[in-house]
Amino acid sequence: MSNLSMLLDGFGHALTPMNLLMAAIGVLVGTFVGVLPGLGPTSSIAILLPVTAVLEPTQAIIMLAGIYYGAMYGGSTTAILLNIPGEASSVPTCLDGYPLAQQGRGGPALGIAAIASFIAGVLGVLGLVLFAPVLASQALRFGPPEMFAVLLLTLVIMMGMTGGRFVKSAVMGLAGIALSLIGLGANSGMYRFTLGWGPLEGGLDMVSILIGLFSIAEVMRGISEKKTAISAGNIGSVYPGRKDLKQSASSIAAGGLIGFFMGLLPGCSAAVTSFLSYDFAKRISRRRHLFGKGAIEGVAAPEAANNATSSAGFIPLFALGIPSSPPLAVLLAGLMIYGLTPGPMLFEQKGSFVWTVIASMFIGNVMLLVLNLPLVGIWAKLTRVPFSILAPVILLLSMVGAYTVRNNLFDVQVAVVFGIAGYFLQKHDWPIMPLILCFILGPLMEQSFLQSMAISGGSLGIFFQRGLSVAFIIAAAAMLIFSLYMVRRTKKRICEERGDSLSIVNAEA
Amino acid sequence: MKSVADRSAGVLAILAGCLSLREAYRLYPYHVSLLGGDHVFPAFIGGGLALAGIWLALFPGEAVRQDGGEQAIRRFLPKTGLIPLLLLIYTFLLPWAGYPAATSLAAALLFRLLGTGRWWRCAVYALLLTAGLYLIFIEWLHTPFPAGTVWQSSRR
Repeated sequence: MSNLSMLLDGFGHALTPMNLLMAAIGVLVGTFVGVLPGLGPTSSIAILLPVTAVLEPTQAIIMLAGIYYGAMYGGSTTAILLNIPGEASSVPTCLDGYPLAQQGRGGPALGIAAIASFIAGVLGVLGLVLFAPVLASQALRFGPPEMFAVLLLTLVIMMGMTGGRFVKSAVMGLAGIALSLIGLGANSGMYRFTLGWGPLEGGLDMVSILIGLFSIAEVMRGISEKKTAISAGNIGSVYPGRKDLKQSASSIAAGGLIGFFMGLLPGCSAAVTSFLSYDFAKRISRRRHLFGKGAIEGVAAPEAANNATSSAGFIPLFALGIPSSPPLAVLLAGLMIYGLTPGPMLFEQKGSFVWTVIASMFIGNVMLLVLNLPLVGIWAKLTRVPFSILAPVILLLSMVGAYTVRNNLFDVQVAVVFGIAGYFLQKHDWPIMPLILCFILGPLMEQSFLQSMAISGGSLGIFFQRGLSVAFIIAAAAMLIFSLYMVRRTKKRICEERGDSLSIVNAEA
Repeated sequence: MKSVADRSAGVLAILAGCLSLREAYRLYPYHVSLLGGDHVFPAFIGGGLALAGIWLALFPGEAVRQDGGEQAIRRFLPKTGLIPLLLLIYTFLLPWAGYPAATSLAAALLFRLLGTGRWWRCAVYALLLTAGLYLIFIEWLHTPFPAGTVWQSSRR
């Protein structure tokens, strides 16, 4: 069966009323939480993960994917109307979006952001259709040594891309693996890291940790920073004119391509790609002098880039089981909860599921545009919800969400403890992503390592005797150097544009 | 100025590394081979954490900018610090008082603490939130929340 026929088959499944409803709910909820202060894509997916338990795996992932790219788009609303970048990837959008809003052209800016997100999102999904199966076709060549090499190198690159000091990322990553090992050991049947304490024998639940580190910590940070709602002024018509579209076309194309290809790199966040595409758009524009004062293409380029990066991230996720950003790490957790192990075999064993999700992403992107353009005015009003009302809702939803995974109050206490830890980690610029990723991938890593040792009779040479694993090691070494350079460049640009007020550590939370 | 937080984290990492190495040593008798068994990863992690901790303690970074770092503790108290405390109390209250009473009380206190308004307004919001969560998690998802030991004992 060719990719096209499988995609058409996927459309057949995705266009059922229930799946369409899930995509619509996902996109709407995603945009809603993206607009609200204190909730990002990662925390909203983490909180809503237990709520999707009543759905079929396909429906649940369609909804969660919708939340993801809906939230990525929703972040642009606060950036344009209020000059508040919810995450580092929205900083370039502020640069021209807010001046446009001040000129009474917030509506067209939001409209262009929606159109750019749609075009780049579709471009990203097309890339997913073309690239992911090619990657997955190598499935049968993937043994435990190759899997271990891929996982190890993913983690190394991720540590390089977090934006902080490498040694801090390493500590967080190792701590993540240690936390994932709590509970029963697979080989000896002995408990590990439980310190003889009963509640730890069942291990730590992934969702509790995610809810604590992202949702609870984020609300605590909002309280300590005395976050309040700020009213947006009149935004004008949301439909951009022909002139706006013409001026933005090349920026959308450039942003989409940069976002997509850079997004394939594990750990290359939307913050990096949105800055790169903004700088590139500025360089190729004839209206360079207007950048920073209200150039519509200055909104289009970063918005296109961050949505293309979101879509591109699904390629390593589905094909190799590697999440390239925090929201995708939570999605990976979701897939695992539903008994689906992303990786080379997913296309082989669950082809129908994967192609249905890919087809639903096309539909979701159309919905993102169709639903959001008329609703921009409502989203703008939502920015006025006081944080003092929002915070208790988020906190109690987090608590109840953490409880529902295993119906266990210990998990709720774990979420609170990780909330406190997350608050201080964020305050001191300790990267959270390596901890999350290593917690999720740690058991897989250990399993593939021990299987490799069983194959080779305990020799580490097995990782250097097989072509694929050696290729991964060489490629990752090169990418690590490149990623460290890119992070340094992005930090420098943020300092230039926003002073020292926004860190790219823990971006996209 | 060197970061005290980095140095402290370095010391903590060394301690965590030692703990992990101790765990590897405890599990070693159950090994399949030198690099095969439940002791291998704790040993790797322990070694890595200890080395990274030593590096951090010896070469800490510069202190974090003014809005984070050293002011974090001062900002954490009192309001921000009360939030996790209240949430922890809620987890102990839940099995004792049951979902409706414990959640309403926790929600009312959270609304009040965060300055939503007068007590009566906080109570109304709390009841609405409790009812909303009840509909989603108990009615729709059939999550078995504790009924509350206090009510069961009073019925007897």
